[in-house]
Amino acid sequence: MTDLGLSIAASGLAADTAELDTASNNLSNINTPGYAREVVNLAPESAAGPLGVGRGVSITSVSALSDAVYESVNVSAQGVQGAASQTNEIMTSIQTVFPEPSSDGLASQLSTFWSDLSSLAANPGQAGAQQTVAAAAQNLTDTLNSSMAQLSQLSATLQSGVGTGAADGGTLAQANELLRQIAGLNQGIVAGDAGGQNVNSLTDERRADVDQLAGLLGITTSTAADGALSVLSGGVQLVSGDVAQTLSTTGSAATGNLAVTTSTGITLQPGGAIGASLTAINTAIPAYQTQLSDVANALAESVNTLQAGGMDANGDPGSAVAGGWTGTVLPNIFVDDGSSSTYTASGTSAASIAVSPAYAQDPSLIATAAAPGPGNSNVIGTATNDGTNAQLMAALAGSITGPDATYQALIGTLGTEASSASSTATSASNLATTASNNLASVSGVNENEEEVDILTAQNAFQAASQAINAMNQSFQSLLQAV
Amino acid sequence: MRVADLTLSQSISAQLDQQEQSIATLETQISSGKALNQPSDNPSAVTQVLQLSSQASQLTSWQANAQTASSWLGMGNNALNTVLDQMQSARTLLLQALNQGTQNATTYEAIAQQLQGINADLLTTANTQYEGRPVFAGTSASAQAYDSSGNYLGNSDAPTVIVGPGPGAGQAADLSVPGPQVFGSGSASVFTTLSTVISQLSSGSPTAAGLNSALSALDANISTAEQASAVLGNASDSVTSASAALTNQLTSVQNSQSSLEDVNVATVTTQLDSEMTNYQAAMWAASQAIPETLVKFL
Repeated sequence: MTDLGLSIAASGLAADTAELDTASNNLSNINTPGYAREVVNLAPESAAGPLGVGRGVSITSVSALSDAVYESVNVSAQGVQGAASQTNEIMTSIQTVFPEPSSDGLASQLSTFWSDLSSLAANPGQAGAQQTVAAAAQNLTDTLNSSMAQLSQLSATLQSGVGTGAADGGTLAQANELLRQIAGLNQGIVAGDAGGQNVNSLTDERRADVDQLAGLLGITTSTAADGALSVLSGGVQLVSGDVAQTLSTTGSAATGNLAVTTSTGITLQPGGAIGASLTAINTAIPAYQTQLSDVANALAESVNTLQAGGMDANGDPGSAVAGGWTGTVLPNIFVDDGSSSTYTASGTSAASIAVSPAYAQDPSLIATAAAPGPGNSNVIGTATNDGTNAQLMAALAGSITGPDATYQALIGTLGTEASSASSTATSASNLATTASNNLASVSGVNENEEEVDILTAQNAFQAASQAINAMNQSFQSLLQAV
Repeated sequence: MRVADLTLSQSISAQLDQQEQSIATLETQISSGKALNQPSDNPSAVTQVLQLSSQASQLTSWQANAQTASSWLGMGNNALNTVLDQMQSARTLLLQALNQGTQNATTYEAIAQQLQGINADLLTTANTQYEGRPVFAGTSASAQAYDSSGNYLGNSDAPTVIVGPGPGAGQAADLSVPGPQVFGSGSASVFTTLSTVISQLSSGSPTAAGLNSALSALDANISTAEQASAVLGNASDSVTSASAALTNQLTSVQNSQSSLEDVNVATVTTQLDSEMTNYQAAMWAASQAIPETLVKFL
């Protein structure tokens, strides 16, 4: 008995204290991201004492509970979710640029333009009808310009959201900070492991960083035997041991080649929110701008062609006439921009398309009448109420290659892409939740469990104390007997 | 499976978020009355709605054109009825003049005076205007169809509007007929006929041959005007039927549009009701589940 008994009881007290400490640490961290539940690993003291009685309990370690498979599934699910939710947000923003179906959208403004032209065709010489058409044309170019500007603005916002790297507050700066922290933590973990220290809290911190980084960049990780975690994104190593790459952007949104490169000059194909932003900046937004410019091109080219082939109500020809006409020749209706007199179709023309200043100033300069020819008695230089050319303009409303059909195709594409982005975001979010729940089922803290542990440890502690007390009383009675 | 407390609270809030989102969507639908509020709500329906509203806008334009045509043609028909009456009065006077036994220089002069009046009335009718444009001047921008001597100032193209789909700009409807198709052209015009008769009668001694040839010229003029009246009547009928067809098409386009676009209030309210019930149940469950731990019972 004696010393041995007391030390056995003491080892029990130590083990129970460790259990209590661990349980209360677990409870304190119940809401800490990245925290893995800790358990005390106990083993009976190996060497047996006299009479084969054990020598008590020993604490072999305090380990953090986790599961490598769940962790890696969780990391990739976070990356997918980061990308999907960012894409969904971007598509939602793009949709607000095209308020359809509504009476404020471009579709309804096009309809107004055509019906104003139809009214003008019935009354070609009427100043009011001419004015209305010019105003409707102005509305169209304003809407095209502002939609393009909103898309460019969205692209610029996304670009500054990504940032250029270093410390500009963008998501790339956050990613760089996380990479640096992970490398630092790797260093601590490797050193601590080698020195036999408990590195659970460092691992927890690193896990939280990795989760956050996964949402930003879309990464994969692997842990080396020495405890160091390698971070890869799109196959490019970003953290290796205690060395982290610093990411920065190259290229530009304007040329559609904005990219993220490492400090060693390797270009990444990132996933996550940053990857989604890059895709939107380089591909998705420019594609909508091109489609919107297709609408502008279809509008400008078809109307300008009819304008050039007709004659206005005053008898001014739409294009130069052989044989020395010295009067007014009609201007184009739509031009490249406010200082141009011609229209050139391009992938960005919707940004600057304008009503030609000459026509805006004098709305009577619209070719409502057919050019002189067989089938009409129009004469260059003679005023006419013929509205057949304006009728052809109004009929562009139904053209299957006209601006209306082109715009409807744009809205169809946008709707399909936005709705698929939304359902992808929902399913990615569900997958991420499942993955993180699975991980939490191993490493998360359950309050009841910890409380049961505390009660058990408390009871055991009381029992061990009782043993000490019993031994103490035995000693006392023995001492009194002497 | 073990459930961590963090998982429980996270999944409760995620669940509540999702329910709030569907409630917000349904709420928007009810308050806007529209099932389609952005392209992603139903991409193919949105595209269809855009096509239908563009079609509806065209139909409305055509209907407005048909209305314009119908007003023009009504104006033209009225004018032609007057013209035919005036020509008949002229014919009666001419027949009176031909009854030479009872006439003398004074009565010839009186007939000439009356014919002069009819000629002036005819000219006024020929210059009938609709919304500031002479109805019988073709597509010419001339302010009048005929000058005071009965010379035609317009051109030979009938003004048109589009009242339906078709090749080129669409199905055209004539607004009117050019003057010469009503009053005869050049030396064969009713104005020439009348001024010839008037000068014969004013001379005091018209010849029977001269008056007879004037009568047959006037008969030709009357038949021309009757033909024009028939043309205008037909045009008016076809515009009326085009307009009726447009109304039917517009109604059916608007119905399709509304069935795609408008909220079925009964359905959506029921959906909202059941979402609200679920939402309340989820909140109740959360309020029960979150505070429940072992501690409470120790």
